[in-house]
Amino acid sequence: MNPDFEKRLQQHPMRGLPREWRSEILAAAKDVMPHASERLSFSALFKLRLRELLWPCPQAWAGLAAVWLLLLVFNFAEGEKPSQQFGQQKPLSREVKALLKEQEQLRAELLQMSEPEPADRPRSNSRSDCRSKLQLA
Amino acid sequence: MAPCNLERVYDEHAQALFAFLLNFTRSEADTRDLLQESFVKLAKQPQLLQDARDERSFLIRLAHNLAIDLMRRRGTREKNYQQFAEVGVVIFARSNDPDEQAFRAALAEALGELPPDQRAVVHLKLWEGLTFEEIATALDIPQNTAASRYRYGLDKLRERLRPLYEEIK
Repeated sequence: MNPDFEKRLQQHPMRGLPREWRSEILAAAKDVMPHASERLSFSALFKLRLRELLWPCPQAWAGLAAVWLLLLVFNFAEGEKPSQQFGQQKPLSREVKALLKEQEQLRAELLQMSEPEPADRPRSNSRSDCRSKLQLA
Repeated sequence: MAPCNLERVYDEHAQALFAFLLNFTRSEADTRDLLQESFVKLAKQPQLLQDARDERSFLIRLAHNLAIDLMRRRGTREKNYQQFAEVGVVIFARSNDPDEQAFRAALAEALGELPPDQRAVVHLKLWEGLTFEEIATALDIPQNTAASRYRYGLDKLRERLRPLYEEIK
């Protein structure tokens, strides 16, 4: 190898790239580029969509969110009242009391009717008993 | 790949790819098409470049493969790709010095007479400053093959340019 000859060749610079090619080539490349939504992961896509949604007027969205939070607070505050009122209910009327008492009695009767027979009742349907009965007969 | 990244890749590597393709194909029209095809491929498959260890080597390999494909396609129609190359294509920058300009014209012609395989190696070694290992990776050939192609190519250039080189020296 002749380093001088190689150096001599290297001294000659190559021609420059035509400038107008840049925009043409990059435009052609961008045309076939897959859309952002096809390349992004779900979380990145969600963030992107959220940003796109909020970006035009973030103050308006912040105001809306504040109103929504206020409504939520009021809703909770209102929601607690019925339970407080429930504890301070008026005493039941006489008719209702009588009806409840009647229902309780009926329930007690039904329970008594369905009570099981005593456990100490003699068993008569065992195989040995049957055999002894047959022998006696 | 984001559009801004594509622009960065173009700004950093397009000049080198242009010079390589122009020297390899000897056709400005083919160079333009191949350069565009390379960037279109990158835009379609952005992960290609993300996986690459060295951007420049990867892009040269991509451009070289596309050029080889083009040569093969042409090969079915043209008996010899060399016949299709433009006559008198300018691959070197113009010089104000007439002697330098004459040498550049002779060098361009001598390079054009080399087989494309040797020309590619000579170009990457001399004007891209790649090592034989890098050239071997970029052109997908064994390192020894890259070295021997360079040696043969350089010998031919020396023989071809000797009279002019001696005169200028």
